[in-house]
Order: sequence, then C-alpha cells, then structure tokens
Amino acid sequence: MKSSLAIAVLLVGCAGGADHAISDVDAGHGGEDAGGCQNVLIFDPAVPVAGDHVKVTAQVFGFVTDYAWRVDGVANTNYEGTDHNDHSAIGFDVPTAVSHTVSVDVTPPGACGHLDQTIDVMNPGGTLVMYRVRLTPPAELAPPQETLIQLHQGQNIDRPFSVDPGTVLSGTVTSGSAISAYVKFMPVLGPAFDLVTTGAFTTHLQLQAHTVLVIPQDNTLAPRLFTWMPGMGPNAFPVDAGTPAGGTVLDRSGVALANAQVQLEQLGVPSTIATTGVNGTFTTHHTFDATDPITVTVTPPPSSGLPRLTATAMFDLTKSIQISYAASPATCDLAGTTVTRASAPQANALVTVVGALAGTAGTIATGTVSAKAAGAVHIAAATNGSGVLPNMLVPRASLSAVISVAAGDFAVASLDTSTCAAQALDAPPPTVAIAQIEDPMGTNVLPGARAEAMPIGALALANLVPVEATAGANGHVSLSLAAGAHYALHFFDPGGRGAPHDYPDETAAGVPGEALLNKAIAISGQVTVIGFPNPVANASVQILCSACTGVAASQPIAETATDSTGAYRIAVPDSGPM
Amino acid sequence: MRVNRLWPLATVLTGCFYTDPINQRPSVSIHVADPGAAIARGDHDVKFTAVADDPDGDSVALRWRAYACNGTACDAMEFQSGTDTTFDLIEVPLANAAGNTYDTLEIRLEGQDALGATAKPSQVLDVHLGDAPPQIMMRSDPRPPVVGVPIGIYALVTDPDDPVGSATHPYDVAWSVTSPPTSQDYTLVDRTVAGTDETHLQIGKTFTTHTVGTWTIELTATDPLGMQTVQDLMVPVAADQLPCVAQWVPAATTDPGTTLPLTDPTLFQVLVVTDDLDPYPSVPNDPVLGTTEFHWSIVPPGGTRQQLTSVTGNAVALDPDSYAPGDLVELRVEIQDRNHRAVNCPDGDLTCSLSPDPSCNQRLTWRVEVR
Repeated sequence: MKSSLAIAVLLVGCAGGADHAISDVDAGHGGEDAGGCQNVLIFDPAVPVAGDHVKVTAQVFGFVTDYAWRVDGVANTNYEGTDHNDHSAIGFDVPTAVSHTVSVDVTPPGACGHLDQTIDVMNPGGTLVMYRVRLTPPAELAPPQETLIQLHQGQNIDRPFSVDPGTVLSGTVTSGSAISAYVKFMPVLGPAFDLVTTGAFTTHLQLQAHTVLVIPQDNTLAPRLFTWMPGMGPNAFPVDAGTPAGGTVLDRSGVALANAQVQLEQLGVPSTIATTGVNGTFTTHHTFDATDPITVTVTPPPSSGLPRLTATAMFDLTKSIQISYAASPATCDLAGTTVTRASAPQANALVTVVGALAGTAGTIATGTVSAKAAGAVHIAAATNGSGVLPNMLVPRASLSAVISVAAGDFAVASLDTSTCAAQALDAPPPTVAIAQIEDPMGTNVLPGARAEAMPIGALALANLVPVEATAGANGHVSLSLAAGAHYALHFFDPGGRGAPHDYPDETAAGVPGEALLNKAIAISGQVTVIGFPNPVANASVQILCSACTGVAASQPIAETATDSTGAYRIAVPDSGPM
Repeated sequence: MRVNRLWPLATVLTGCFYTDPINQRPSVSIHVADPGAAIARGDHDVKFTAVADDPDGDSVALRWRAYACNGTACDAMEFQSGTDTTFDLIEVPLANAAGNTYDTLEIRLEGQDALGATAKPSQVLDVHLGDAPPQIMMRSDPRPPVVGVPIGIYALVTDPDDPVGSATHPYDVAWSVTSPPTSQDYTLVDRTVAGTDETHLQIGKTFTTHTVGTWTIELTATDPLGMQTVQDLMVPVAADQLPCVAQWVPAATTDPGTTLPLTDPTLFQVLVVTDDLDPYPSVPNDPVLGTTEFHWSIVPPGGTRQQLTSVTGNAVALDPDSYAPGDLVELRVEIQDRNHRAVNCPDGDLTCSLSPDPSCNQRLTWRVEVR
C-alpha cells in the first residue's frame, strides 16, 4: 500500500526557519547544524514504503556545478529526470523497510555544501498512525511547541526534533501602572501556555502571531485579548474596566433573583463576574466585539434549587440582558433525606446533586435576540450529625447524587426527584478492583506499571480527581472505585514495556482482571534548540492524541523527558491512540 | 719569437681543469624515542627516529623495516616499513604463525643519498621484547554515586600476550578500596558481568557506602609472568539530592495576591522532576533509579486542606463546572524521593524549598479562581 502523502520538503540546517517553531527533523530540518543554510533535500515519496522508488532532489540556493550523491555511504549516479541533467536529483529503489541515509556534496562546497538525511522506509502492510508531540523545553530556552508526527504501524522510528527558541518578550500588564494578571499566550500553531504576573514579565514566544489573553486579578478590570506579532509587539498590555453590560435575572416565578452570578464569554475571553443584587440586576464588564457569538452563564445561589443556565447567541450587549428561568421544572426539597452506608447513617457526608435538565431551563434575551438556555444542576449540601440532609432544593428531574462520605470516599446514586417522593440515599463503600497488568503478549506481569481511573459521567461533574495505583511485584494494581461511578481506565507503563491500554467507560465491576498493554512502537531521538550548542536536558516530551479536545487534549498518551544528552525514547501504541 | 714559445703553454692554460668530486656515502643512525622505556609485545605507538647525515649535503632517503624474531630466527618479511624520519610502530606483534612468542624486535634502517650512495653499513637495532603488562579499563554505572545506593563498578582486563579469560588458569586480579583511608564504611561485592572471552576479562563489583566523599577503587591485575598493572577509579559519592520540580503546567502561583483563572477543565501537571535517583518521568528499566512520589492536596472553597490520597501520579484535573464562579480552590503538589524528606514549610507558603538552592522547589501551589 503506497502512501499518497505529499512531497515533504526537508529543510537542511535552517537556523533561520522563523516560521517553523518545532522542526520534526525527519520531516523538516536536517543535515548540517544551524548556520543560516536554506538548502533542502526533497524526498518523493516523503514516507516511502518497501517496494517504492525514491527520488531525492537537492534544492540548493546558489551557484552549483555538480552534485556528488551517496546512498548509505555508497556513491550513487542514478541521476533522475530530464530536468536533472545537472545531477541535482537521483533515484533509488527501497525494497525493504529499513532506513537509508542520503547525502550530497555540492561543488563548489560553500558553507552549506554537505546535506544529509536519513529516511525511514515503512512496512507496506502497516497503517499510518498520527500523534501530536508536545515539547516543553526549559522555559529559559524556548517556548513549548507542538508538531504532528505520522508513524507507520509496527515500526520504531528515530525522530529528532529541533526547537526554535523564538524570541523573548519582556512585557507589562498595566492599568495606569503595572498590575497583577493572568496571561495566556496562544500561538497560531502550537500549544497555549500561561503565566501569572504581578506586572512585568519575560517569556519566550514562538516567531509567529499570538493571541494574548490577559485576565486581571482585579475583577473590576475586564479581561482583554491582544494580538502580538514578532517584531511588532506590543510589549505593553493595558487593561481597563471595559464596557459595562447589565441586565436582570428572574427566577422561575418571575421574581428577581439575588446573589446569582453572571458571566459572559466570547471566543474564550471572559467578562468580569457580576453578582445580582436584591433586585436581580447585575452589571458585568467586557471587551467583546459585536461580530462573534457570546455565551452567557448564570450560576444561581445554591439555596435557590435552580440549575445553572447557559446560552450562546449573537447577543446585543448594548441592550439589557434579560435572564428568565423557566417555570418548570419546579424544585424539590431533599430535607430529611438520610444518607446511609450499610444501613448506617453517614454524618457530615457531602451530597452533590448533579445532572443535565432536559428541555429548556430558561431564556436569555437582549432586545430582539433571544436564546433558550440549557440547565445544568450542581447543588451541594452536607448531612448533619445524624446523616440527614438539611433543606436542599433541587430541580425535579432525573438526577444523580455524588456522595462523599469522607475525603476521597465517593459513591454515586441515582436520584429521581421528578415526583419529589421521599428519598433515601445509599452510599455503598468503594469497590476495590484488582487488575493484573501484563505485557502485550500476556506472558509477563509488569511491576511498576500504573493504572489510572479518571471519573466520567456523574462523578466527573462533582469531582475529577483520579484514582491511581502502581503495580507491585506481581503486576497487580488495586483501584478503590466509587460504587455506581463510571471511569475511564488508563493502563500504562512508565518503563515502556508496552503501550497504554485504555478502557473508555467502565464501572468497578468492569475493571479487567488482566490488563494487557498494547503492542508498542518506540519513538526516539534527540531534542535540540536551534542556536543552543549544549544538549537540551529535562525537556518534557509528551505524546498526545491528534484529535482530542478538553482535558483529554492535554492528557498524554505517553510522556518522558530528555536525558542529560538531550535524548529521549518513548513507547506509543502501535495501533494509534486508543 | 718569445710569443711563439709561450703559445703551447697558453693553449693549455686557457682550457678548463675539472676534477669530478667524489660523492661520499651518507650515514644514518637509529634512535629510540624513549630510550628508558621497555618495549613489550603488543605495545602500540613505539617510536624510532633516524638521524641522517650526508657529507655532501644531499638529501637522504630512508627506508625502515621492522622484523619480529623468536630467538635468532626472524620472520622473513618485515611486519612494518616506513620512509619517514620517524618510524612509528603501530603495534608490536605477539607471536609468529607457529605460535612462538616473539622476544626480539629487529629494526633496520637504510639510507641513500640523492646520487644513489647508500649508507654502509645499514643500521640494525635489536630490541628485547618484554612481557606485556595487563591493561585495565574501569568505569562505573552512568549515574551519580549517592550514599546508600549500590553502584556498579566494572573493569575490562586485557593482556596482549597472555590469555585473560581462561577458565583453567584464572587471571590474577585483586580489588581494593583505598580511600577515604579512615573509613571502612563500604561494601564491595561481586557482581556478574557477561562478556568474558579468551582475550577479554569482564569483571565487576557492587560498591555501596554511607559515607560522603571521593572513594578510590583499585584493581590490580597480574599476568602469569608477574607483570602487574594497577588501575584506580575515583568514585565521588555525594549525599542524596533533593528532588526539584523543573517543569509544570499551567503556571503555578508564587505570589499570594494572585490566582489562576479556571475557565475550562484543566489538567494540572508536573512535567519534569529532576533528581539524582528518582526523577520524573522515570528512566525505564534502570535497576536502581526510581521515580518521584507525588502528594496532592486540595483546599476546596471555604474548606480546609484535604489530601488526595487516591492520586499518586503527576497530574490532577479540575473542572470549573464542579464549582461556582468566584470560588477559590487551592491545589498543591509536594514531591519526595525515596528518602521521604518531609516538605515541612508552613502551610501558607505557596512554594517550599528544603534545598540550599531556593529555585529547587519541592512544593507547587495553584491558587485557582473559578471563572
């Protein structure tokens, strides 16, 4: 199966690659070290498979009289193409899945006269696997950077990375004078990163446009988005009170709702947080434009029993924001509900009622623009010394109760308040699930391998703290999992004896007795920072799925760090992200 | 008339008298670069130099030949030749094809000037070849030696003219620890090392001490003829270093007056911990190196600190939907290595460094404001 990838341009020794943040050397830079060289080798196909014929073209800037090619150290004069009588291209067959090193010396030699590059020939039967690689060098060297890499199933690969140090921004957040703020830098390509400053700050940025989100610590100042360009700045990030936007929040009876919190958001930029007064009115401050949708979020006071409202629309913030709860569902008071474990009342248990309401929970309108709001329930209360809940209003709906009997001791129970019948909440003790982690062949247990259970579903709405364990000498891990809860299970081995094996949705009963890690392929190589002569030690190398969102987008499939020589080696699933 | 009588003489005197000068032979001599040094079988880079002189000032072409001999029987063919002033024997041979050990090196030097005159006699230097001493290379495990942690010490013993790996005639090696001289606080026990064959003796020890200092581990190898080599290896044993949080995301709080806005579900991660023995991420398949222990805690809104005992890894996620806008949540991670030194700074300290280096922190705190 021949890859149909586009031709890749392999930049050789391009220190001035300003538009490239991280350079996947096998698919980007290579050959000579930094020195301003812009000569390139072009491989076609870029990712050959066994049986292909590979054409390599040297694209050399400057006057050249001849090219001396070598493939795996042997002179090659199989010049290719009618356009290449000048010997600037050769071709060779790659019958097997091995690596080949191609080099060319140009005449006259010049400062950049030697180019070389290793190209991996892939197995013809394998499929391509895509990962994101996030490199975080020490902050004083370069900003974090990301690249996509494409691996061929069943084949380890050497993948050096050359990181662009970018440029240093010495900036200040001001409001008259320097102020404390949270600053988030979001490059056009690559991962966002952030810092918390008391005013002035210094950081490395990639040589590309960034949007910079500034959220002042002072809630009377509006968060603001800036555009930063290399060489153009800005260096100063002034913030102010922004533009006020106000309105009213009415409860399900049409009565003003006090102590509700209202926040707006546009393109990831929040407004200030406003709290309604006794008359239900609020004023928030923002820096939004009129061209993009705005999300309004309302968090009612817990005692109201109302859900949180969220709606997104092209709200006209020059007009008053009218927020109204729907009359239905009504509320239900859980007062008197007893929380038990094995029939024993549980004192001081924290009960968090969570769930999403069906239908429309309210409306949010500005002028003629009106949007239906979704409702999410998140209401918490603690039992008294007798294990009985106090007054606790919740919407009448099919909900869930996440019960924390003690720190880290959870249970999840269904809670249907639709008819507001008397309730009893049972909080069974956690279930200890034991799994034996084994290598991909199932022949060896893996001491030191790890298991992680990340809450999902109802439990995740109350708590995202994972349950983790490390395998002992017998390869066993014990996971104390909340009764009734669902988890995403992640088995992995820091030792790289197999690739992670994920189970996306399991209860305690579903934890596998034997968890075989996946067959792994290894990515290894050297991390360098362009222009920095020393090895880059302690650079974080994370392998992430290529298309995840939310927390999963930053949850590494595998991670390691470069050693004192700047080298790394990491095992990833052979079959791609699970 | 007088003129006529002088004519024959004049005729003779106006001709050229020429006497062809006799070309003299050049002389050459051989000098040993290091006259005091014994030369042994298997030696490398043994240098000789030629001193050539030609009375006529001509250049002298040199020709070196080196023969290996057993007793009075030298090989018919030279094993190395040369034409430079310096003659550098790459390696002194050990034995002839019949297995007879060479005991003499015969160096011959001939000189010839530009007119073809050769130096007579050609120079011959016979050099006695001695027994080659054992050769020792030593190394330790490629990690910093730390008190209380065993470290492997390895030696490769070779001998150009004696077998070292014979099972029937074990080569004589002896280990010793020579410093610090006042301390006996160590153990040095055998460890199995693969790779021994007839010409390579691979041996090793496991060295453990609880005393900080530079230790010297010495290996003495003695060949069957009594030739002895002593090699030592300096082992600078240091106290265990504290782990340091080196990289993390998102930005942690270092100023008590600042918070981190939590607008989306966020994974709070320690990316890299540097430590001599227990780094994070760990080093795969190392029998000694371990990994960092992470201890997480959280202060929920209006609450007190709770230890997140179920979390043993390097990351914890927080979801703003689990809280209300404006809620303040404090998430903290403290790290320890195998020595479990308590991170005992006051609870209110956002960071904590137990190290003389204040940038080496064992505690990070994220003070989060839910937005």
